[in-house]
Amino acid sequence: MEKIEINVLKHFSPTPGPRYIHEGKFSGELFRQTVLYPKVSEAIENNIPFEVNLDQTAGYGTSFLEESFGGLIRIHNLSYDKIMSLMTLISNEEDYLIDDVNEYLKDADEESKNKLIQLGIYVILIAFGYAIARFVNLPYFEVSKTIDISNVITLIVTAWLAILITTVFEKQNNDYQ
Amino acid sequence: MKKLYTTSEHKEQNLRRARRSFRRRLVFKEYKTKKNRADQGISRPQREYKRKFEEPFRNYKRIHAPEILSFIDNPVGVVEFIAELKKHYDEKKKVFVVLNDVKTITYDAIVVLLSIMVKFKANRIDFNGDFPVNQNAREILTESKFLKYLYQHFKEEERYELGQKSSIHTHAWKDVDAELGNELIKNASKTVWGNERRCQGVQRTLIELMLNTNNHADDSKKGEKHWWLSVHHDKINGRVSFAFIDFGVGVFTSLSNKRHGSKFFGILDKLKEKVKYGNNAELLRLIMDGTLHRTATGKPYHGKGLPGINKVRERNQINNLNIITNNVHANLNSNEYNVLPKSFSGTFVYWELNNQNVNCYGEN
Repeated sequence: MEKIEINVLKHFSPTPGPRYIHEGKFSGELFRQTVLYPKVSEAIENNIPFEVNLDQTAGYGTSFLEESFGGLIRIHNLSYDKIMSLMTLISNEEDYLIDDVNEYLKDADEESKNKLIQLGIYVILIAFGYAIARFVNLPYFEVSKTIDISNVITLIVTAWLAILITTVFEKQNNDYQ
Repeated sequence: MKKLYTTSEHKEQNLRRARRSFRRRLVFKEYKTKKNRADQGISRPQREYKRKFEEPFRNYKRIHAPEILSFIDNPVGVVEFIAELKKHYDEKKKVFVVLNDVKTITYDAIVVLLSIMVKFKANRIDFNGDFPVNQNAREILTESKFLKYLYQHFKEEERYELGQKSSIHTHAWKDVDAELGNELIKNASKTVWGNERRCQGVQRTLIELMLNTNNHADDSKKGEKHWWLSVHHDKINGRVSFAFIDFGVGVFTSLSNKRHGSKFFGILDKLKEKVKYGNNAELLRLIMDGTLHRTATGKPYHGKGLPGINKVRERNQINNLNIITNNVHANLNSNEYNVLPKSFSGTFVYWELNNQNVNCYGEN
């Protein structure tokens, strides 16, 4: 059965470096973007197993591996189950790397699931608030029983602008500090 | 009559100027008296020699280095020494480092001396010093090429490389350089095993430390501060020691600054942390163990660097790991975490590689 081979030494560099591109040469971000993601996504699309060989390099920082593998789920939204079912990791020189990578993938999956749960909670809260406002008569407050699309758009745009302005000011403040 | 002496305003101004001039004259008179007294009974050529060679650094602020100039053996003394130098660096004052009384100097102190010297010189602040009387201390300092660089000019640069072709090689940069790590390990393995080998543990330690400096040393901007790395090859004992330093904010200041910036970190959280973890030494122990996950970025997938370095030590890939950051000195091999009376603004890490450490054959 054919399989896709990814060898860090051959396909990327003998000296894997930091997490992000701006931090130095041969980063995990660069590896994920140029080597890992194209090959893994191809493997997942065609349902072909893939093998990642981590041996023969100078050594890895934790952030390189986390960004490369965790980023597949966090950034590229690939399925954890698919990756785990198709991936074979080879690390004879540093066997602990296999556990580390599996842990990074699992953590990234849990993080994305938590994000989904958070989003669900927010939606439920909004729906709950709307339901209360719609069906309960609150004294002193007039709550409109109809939804006007222009009002919804105004609300969304106002909220978006508020977030944007807060972020910009916070960034400026941080830069100044 | 001149305007100067008629109006009250100008009379006052004239008086002020006269007082100023008088004060200046008194100061000069005192200086001249002292000078004449010192020069009494000395011939003119002798006076010339004295002025040129014996007192060339009289305008410099003299800072005495501790007798034991070793970050690991005397962290308190070295932290105080660095604090004193930093004070003068911030005030842009000329400094003369008195190393005469130094009895012991270890290789980890070399990176401290060299980095401070380059910082002064790159900022055009005069920096000078003398040599230890003690023979061993003098030899170590000579080996590091400290004397050579003492009379050299430095510019503010991204990258420095000092002491090539000597047993103490020092590097400085702001980015993460995995290729440099690889080269250093190749050379180190020749000293330790006699041939080129790969030490993934050392490489991981170097990358994590460089990354920490790049991301957290300066709170306002990433990649602003230099990291300094000094590597010493002990060919007789087949041992290589690595000393890494950055003059950033340090681990705990970085963690607390970032959390103070966060909207949700208040006085209650600070109190809770104090009650829960005691002091910074306990906090560092928990972080290194991996029991407590802490990151200044607030991203859950960050913050694996420091525990990663400890795991490298646990796997016997490095030896004699020591960390000094803010007010904590951790000797991880003996599992001792001590609180220092004075805080060091930065992070210092020291470790060794010997022939008992785990390594891999084959070039990459």
